[in-house]
Amino acid sequence: MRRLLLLAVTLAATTGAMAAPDTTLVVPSSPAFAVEPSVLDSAEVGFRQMTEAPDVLALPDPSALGRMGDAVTLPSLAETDLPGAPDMRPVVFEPATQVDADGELAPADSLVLPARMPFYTRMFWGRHGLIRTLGLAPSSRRGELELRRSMLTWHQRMGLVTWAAFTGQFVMGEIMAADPQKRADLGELHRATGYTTFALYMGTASLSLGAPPGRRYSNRFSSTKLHKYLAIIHFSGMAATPLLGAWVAEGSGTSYDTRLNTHQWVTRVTYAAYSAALATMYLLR
Amino acid sequence: MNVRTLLLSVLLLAPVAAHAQRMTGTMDSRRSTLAYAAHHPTHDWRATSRSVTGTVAFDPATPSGASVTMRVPVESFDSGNDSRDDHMIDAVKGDDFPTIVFTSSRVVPTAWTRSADGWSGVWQVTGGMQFAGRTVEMTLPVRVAVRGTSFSATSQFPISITAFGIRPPSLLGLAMRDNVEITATLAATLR
Repeated sequence: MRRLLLLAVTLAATTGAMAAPDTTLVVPSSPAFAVEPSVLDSAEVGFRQMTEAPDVLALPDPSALGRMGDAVTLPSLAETDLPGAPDMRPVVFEPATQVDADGELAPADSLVLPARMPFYTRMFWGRHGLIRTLGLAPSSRRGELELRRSMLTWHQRMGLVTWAAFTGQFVMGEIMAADPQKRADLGELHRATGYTTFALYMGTASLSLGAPPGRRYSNRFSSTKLHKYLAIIHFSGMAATPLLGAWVAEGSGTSYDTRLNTHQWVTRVTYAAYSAALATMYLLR
Repeated sequence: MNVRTLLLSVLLLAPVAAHAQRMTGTMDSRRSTLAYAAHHPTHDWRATSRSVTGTVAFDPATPSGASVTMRVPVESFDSGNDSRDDHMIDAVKGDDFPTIVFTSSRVVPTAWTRSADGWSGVWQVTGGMQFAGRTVEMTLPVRVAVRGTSFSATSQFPISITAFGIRPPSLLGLAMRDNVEITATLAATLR
């Protein structure tokens, strides 16, 4: 019985810390663990969405835990493979074009394009779009995506340059409209800079309209969608503005003031829509 | 040793065996998310992935032996703006390195408490984050709770994208900030 009692006491002592409710696991008492909880703040980490940490919290010395950027040896990918885990291999892009039975270039059977492409993208880059029909498309979807990124980056850059040119042109037009003398002095310059602005604008627009399709398109509203809706307004206005400018200078049938007012207000709306389209990309999420 | 002694020993050892049991679980993708909050000089945004997979294995009595693996497809992050998500995939070389992987190499429980509900506390999880073709070691503060067979963990930490060799993408000439805040919410059912 004494042996039995001894065994029971030994086992109870072994299990006590784990089995007793509301018991704290004792963390090794090395000096590395004697750091104040404020280390959380100094390490720029936090638990803003979490409940209060227990009072017993004592953090290890961050220097003992390694630093971001340190080299580390990890298990190989094969060792960390999990059933049903996502594929770790690079995305394989099938050829986007193939030579058909007639010896002509045609979209590859394996070519997968995103659903819900805008109509202008489908017109150029759809399975039977103009670019593919002419055999001008890159040989793979990867090439298309790289081309798209490059075109959209240039679209952004040229968009800013165009906005600067448009602003100058807009201000010049307002000055001319208010002062008949300036109208006579700046007429030729306004016409020349107008053609330049128009060319810059169309170049900027074509970089976006002609870009290959992205990875996915959804129907959700976003800042990019608003940017596109505003583009419908400023594209229409920009297409009409040079014609209206010529109509102001050489038109007949209506009074000069009516023609000038029409040109002025179409340009104002166009400039406002263009500026708003630019602002949506900067300011909206 | 008589039968009574043997029986009593078995009864006393049973709780020990139960506590020493190593539990494993697979991340529940329906309840697990990984989100990043990024900052541009003119606006902030947040994108969330709901395609988190991974495993967790540990013994609640000795969590320092725990191991955690997490995987998230790069293309699964959704910020509500397809164009921006597309741009981010390009920026983080998502076609060449389509998956973000975190594999723990060391777990240090800094507070680990048992209550009537189960276990809870904070772990400092050290491991390698594989992202954009580079592996960076980092130590993450993770708040862990175990209620019966339900495992949940949350962590919030900053990463530097340039540490992963990623050039911060820019919009209209302005680059996004290097620091991105990550929020991980993981859930698994333990066996």
